[in-house]
Amino acid sequence: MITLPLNSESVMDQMVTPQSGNVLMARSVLRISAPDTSDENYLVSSPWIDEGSTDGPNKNVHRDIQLDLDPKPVVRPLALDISKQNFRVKALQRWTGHVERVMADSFIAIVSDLTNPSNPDEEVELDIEDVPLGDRALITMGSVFYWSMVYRDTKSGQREKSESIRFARQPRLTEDVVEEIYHEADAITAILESA
Amino acid sequence: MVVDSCLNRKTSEPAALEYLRLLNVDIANKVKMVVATHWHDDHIHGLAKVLDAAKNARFVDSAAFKRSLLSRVVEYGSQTGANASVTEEYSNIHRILRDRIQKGEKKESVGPMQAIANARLLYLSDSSRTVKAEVIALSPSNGTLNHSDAELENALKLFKERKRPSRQGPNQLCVVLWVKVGALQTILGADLEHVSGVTEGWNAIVRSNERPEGAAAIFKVPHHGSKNAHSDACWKELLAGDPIAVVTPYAPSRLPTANDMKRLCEHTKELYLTSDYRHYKASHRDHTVEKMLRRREKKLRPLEGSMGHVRMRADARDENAKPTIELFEGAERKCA
Repeated sequence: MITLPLNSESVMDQMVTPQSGNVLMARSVLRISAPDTSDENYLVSSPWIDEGSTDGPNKNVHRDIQLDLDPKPVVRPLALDISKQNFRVKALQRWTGHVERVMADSFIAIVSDLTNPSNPDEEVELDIEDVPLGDRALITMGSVFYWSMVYRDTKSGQREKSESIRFARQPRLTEDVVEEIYHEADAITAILESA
Repeated sequence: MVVDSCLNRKTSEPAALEYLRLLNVDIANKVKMVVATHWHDDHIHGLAKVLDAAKNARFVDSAAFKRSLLSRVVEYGSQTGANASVTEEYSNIHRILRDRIQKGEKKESVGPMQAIANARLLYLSDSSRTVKAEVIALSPSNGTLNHSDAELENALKLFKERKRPSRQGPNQLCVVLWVKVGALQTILGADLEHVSGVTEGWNAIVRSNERPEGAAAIFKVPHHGSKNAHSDACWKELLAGDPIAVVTPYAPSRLPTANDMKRLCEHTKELYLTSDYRHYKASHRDHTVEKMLRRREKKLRPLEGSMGHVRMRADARDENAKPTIELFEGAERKCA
């Protein structure tokens, strides 16, 4: 069994070991065969490489890992427990926020507590240095982000605390979808303005 | 009548519904009108639920908004999740109204009715009543109607960039209400700001020849007591001497400031603040999280406190009646 770190700015730095199956590496392409885990949530922000799958000798299901075509924002809330993996992540605290003001080294944001929704909205000053390089261009007034604090427990028994800020990315809506939204809006308006 | 809405964070219910239920009010039949003075999130949270409960109420919002553009903006926002709390709320309001009209209810009864300066929105004078009641819009003025498209188009542009419109935007489009119940007159100032032009804001109201006569004895101070919303002419021309004035805070902008309070106290001795953001208590979180926040020197300032409440009751038949004032959950009298 080989475990490989995924070193990419836009992909969470994780060690992933499928419970069974083979992990093969050919040059820069990583092909993973693993039991179907389609019901799990992954925190990813770049697509996995899609490789054609063929049956292996141990008859494990080869899972095509699809490009993320979900039109929702790419940053998803953290999975609470990815028990089949080599680590366990426990979310301690999550907020969603939006930027109110940007300064030289920091920004002021209003955050809503996702972990304890009965807590009021709060204002906080966050450091730009805490934002991944790839997200810093997104720090503008009104931008939406997710801020989370987690425990990461590795298989070897180590526990570390971690904090991350990730900005939401705009899903590209096709013109057709926008037209559909406008069409629905216009239909509502027609009824509301009817005599 | 219910004007605007906010949520009780502890229960996630609209504060107005909770209050009316506490008083055993038959919301479905007794609430005649639900008003959205403008579409900012601190005024609109929970309003769809209020409208849904007030099954015989007419919905009123500002004539400054072109309905076709507003519909597109809220549908875009609510379906893409941009500024979802506001757009989803307004989208739900539109859907409730649409459904009522499609079920055969008359549009005049359902709304939306668009308020414009000096339009009478409600008049209750049937013989079963001991006093007449009337609600007249004092704004938006005609001079404001040209600005709304720009605000909505800007909001749509920001939604497409997955951003939230700034809270600091102008509040010229909102609905200020004159409420007369028997002998008692009240001005609900919404968030209307004061501008130098004579065709907008408080100047347009004061200068209007068609506005209701008389002076209001009760005043909901506009825009959280900010100096941007202060108009000396309003205090002089529209309000009785030493009116009962109520300010609601807006913690993100630290309103009202100490200077705002000082200025307001120069105009009335009967000033009430629904809650003081300087006394808001910090949220409780897991102690590990608190330690992490402290280690990273991150301070979170709460933007809401208890649901402060100022209640005024008076005999509306008596011209000289002075309302009794009761304060709840952290509301305070200032200037005394």
